[in-house]
Amino acid sequence: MLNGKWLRLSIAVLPLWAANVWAVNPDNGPGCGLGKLAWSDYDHPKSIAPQVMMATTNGTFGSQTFGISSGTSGCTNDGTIMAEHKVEIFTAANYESLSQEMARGGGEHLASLAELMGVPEASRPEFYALAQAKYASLAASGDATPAAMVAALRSGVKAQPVAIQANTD
Amino acid sequence: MLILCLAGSVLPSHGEDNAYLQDLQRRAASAGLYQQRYWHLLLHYRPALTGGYESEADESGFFLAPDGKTNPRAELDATLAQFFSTEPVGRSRQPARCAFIARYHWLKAELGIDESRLPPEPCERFHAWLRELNPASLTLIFPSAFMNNPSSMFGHLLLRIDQKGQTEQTRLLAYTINYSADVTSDNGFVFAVMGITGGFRGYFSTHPYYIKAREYGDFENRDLWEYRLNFTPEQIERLLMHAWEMGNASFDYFFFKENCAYQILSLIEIADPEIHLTDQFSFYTFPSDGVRLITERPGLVKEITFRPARATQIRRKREALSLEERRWLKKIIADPQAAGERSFTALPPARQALVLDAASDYFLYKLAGESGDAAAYRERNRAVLLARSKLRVPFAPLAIEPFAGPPEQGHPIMRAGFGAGWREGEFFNELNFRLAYHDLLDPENGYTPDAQIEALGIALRHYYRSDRTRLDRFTLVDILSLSPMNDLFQSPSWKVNIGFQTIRHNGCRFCGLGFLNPGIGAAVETALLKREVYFGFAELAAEYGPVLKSDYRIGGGATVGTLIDFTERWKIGASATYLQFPAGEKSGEWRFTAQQRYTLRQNLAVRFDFNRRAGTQEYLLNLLVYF
Repeated sequence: MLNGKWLRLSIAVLPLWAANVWAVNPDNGPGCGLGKLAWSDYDHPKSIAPQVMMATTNGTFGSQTFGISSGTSGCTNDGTIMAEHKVEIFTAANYESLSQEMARGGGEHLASLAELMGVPEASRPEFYALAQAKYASLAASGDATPAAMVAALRSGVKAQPVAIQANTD
Repeated sequence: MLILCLAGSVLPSHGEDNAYLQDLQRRAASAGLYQQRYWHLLLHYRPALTGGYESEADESGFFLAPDGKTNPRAELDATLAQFFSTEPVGRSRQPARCAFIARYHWLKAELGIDESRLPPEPCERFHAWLRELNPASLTLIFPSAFMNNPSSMFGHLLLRIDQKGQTEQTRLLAYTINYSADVTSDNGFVFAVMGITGGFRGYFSTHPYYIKAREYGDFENRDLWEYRLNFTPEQIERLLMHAWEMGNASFDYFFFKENCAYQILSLIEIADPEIHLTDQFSFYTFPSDGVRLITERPGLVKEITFRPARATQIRRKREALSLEERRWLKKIIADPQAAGERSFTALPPARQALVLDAASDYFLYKLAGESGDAAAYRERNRAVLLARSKLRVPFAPLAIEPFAGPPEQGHPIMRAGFGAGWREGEFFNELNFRLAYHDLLDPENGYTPDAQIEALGIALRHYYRSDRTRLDRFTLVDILSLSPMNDLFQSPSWKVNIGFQTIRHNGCRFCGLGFLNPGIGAAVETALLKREVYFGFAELAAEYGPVLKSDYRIGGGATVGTLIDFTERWKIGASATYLQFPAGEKSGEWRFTAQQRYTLRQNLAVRFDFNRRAGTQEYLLNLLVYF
């Protein structure tokens, strides 16, 4: 019943079904490497390809960087992020969500950033209010980079009473 | 000794060490350790088809004996011997005691190894890693199905290592354990073939959860389900020790069986060897089946959390808006300056905030997506957020409800049907079977709504008057993805159906026909009764069969149809199709279907089908069992 010709026909069209999978582009750039993790390649996606690629690889993107017991590479150590790069990488990877949560004055990304910056639990409400207040000047500065965001939050924290400061340097 | 080590000798250099090693090897053999489940789990041994055992790991550095892949006993002896050496082994380049730290801990406990008789080995790298992970508990993560990629169509599984002191707000900072294929081809066809035949290599990695949450939630718009697991600190440490060993391993990645779900479940077995997971699967491992096994285990799951994708958040926020607020949303998306109009600022601040939040979510959704001008979206998002930052309302996130239940509430994946029907005055019985996965009339709880994937289905019929049993239809693959549109979302719907069916044609009453039927279309939804979806497709059709003049016909046409949920259990679907074939046998054909389903239980449903095609009518009643 499944005669030969018919089977060949269906096999020949299989690529159509699978054809929305292409593009391999794990960009392990120079330097810390994870700077590339700023999703710079994904902020201007020209097609669905980058998304599909990421799904396809199920996150091979950076699998070298995050490989278990893979030694030291750029800013990771055996697949975990070195302490001195944590704030920078988190901010770069979540820049859009952080902007949103700064403007809203709360959210899990902002809470996580506060955690990484060492803002004490008790001072978090002040930190969120400060982030919301800072959003306007940050947006007005025209410097839409993760570094500017971190600098704005740090300088804001510094100008606050001692309680909120902790070890945010 | 140095020279011996550099020469790669695995034999202890001193006679005394040698005697101790032989003692350990003898005791291990008499205890039959190499036959124990835990040793087999650590080395990923499975019974081989030819008898004996074979490891699923495919990297020689993972084994310390030359024939370690197929010889559990030799591997155990070689592992013990290597503990007497400080020579770095495996891809991770560490002394064996550290590179294979889970093996060491197990053997040490089983044999009472006297550590002072081995070369001192602090395993600093492992302990630094463990400190950095700071584990408190483990969470199994299920990203739901993603229709636009064959390798993600059935969902995915990964583990999250929750940290001590972590809160609901900071779980993003936890690391995950993820298993994925290193895809080395950018060709769709090669990808499919290599994926199915194990042509890619799979590796374990530890991405922070914020990367995975963004990848799945923002880029792919997949909802996440999180299952907090009830493991003791010892079980967690055991699992992590083995995960550390995985830095020396790689596996041929098979999409259907040895895939992400399979390997993640194999880690869970290390935490608790009493749980049998991977040997429950013979031909394929679906992530949702993995979740089902985990949740069926009494007491294993502590807590289930839903994490909505960006698109889900937008849809729910839009639902929470009044008609007037929805008009504002649309207006502000088109021009954020509208947020400054007096009639908008006259709304209560909390309602303004909700509209602006939905608008900003929409821009981020578009920025993560494929279409449009990123710079313009970014600029408009900035204007919306500026207005939002001026509203000093207390931050109160909307609780986002899922559109589909958790995967373990879904029907099991295989389906068998026992049916009876009537075709052209003739009574018949039908038996049907489908290997996977879900069609639009199956009970939908636990499945991505409006997404159908059927693969390898077959139906046999026995006709009583003519006393003949025949293959009625065969489904190679039948995928249908409906994306209801509204003023915010305008993704196309699409389908592709490849299979074989029986038709009445050119005087032949039962004639086989192979077909290919892809289409692209649009859908909308309403909520008049419970939920209704209406769709239309423009489509192509190619058919092949000896019954056709010149053996084939190629053409195209259109389908319109609807799916209506009357209640949680009762659903109907109906469609009408017209196809015109200008190539091959020139002909045209009308097709009508009407189906309804009633869900009896999670794994049991009845279905009634009416089909009319080229003047032939049939009625079919089926009892469907999912297993």
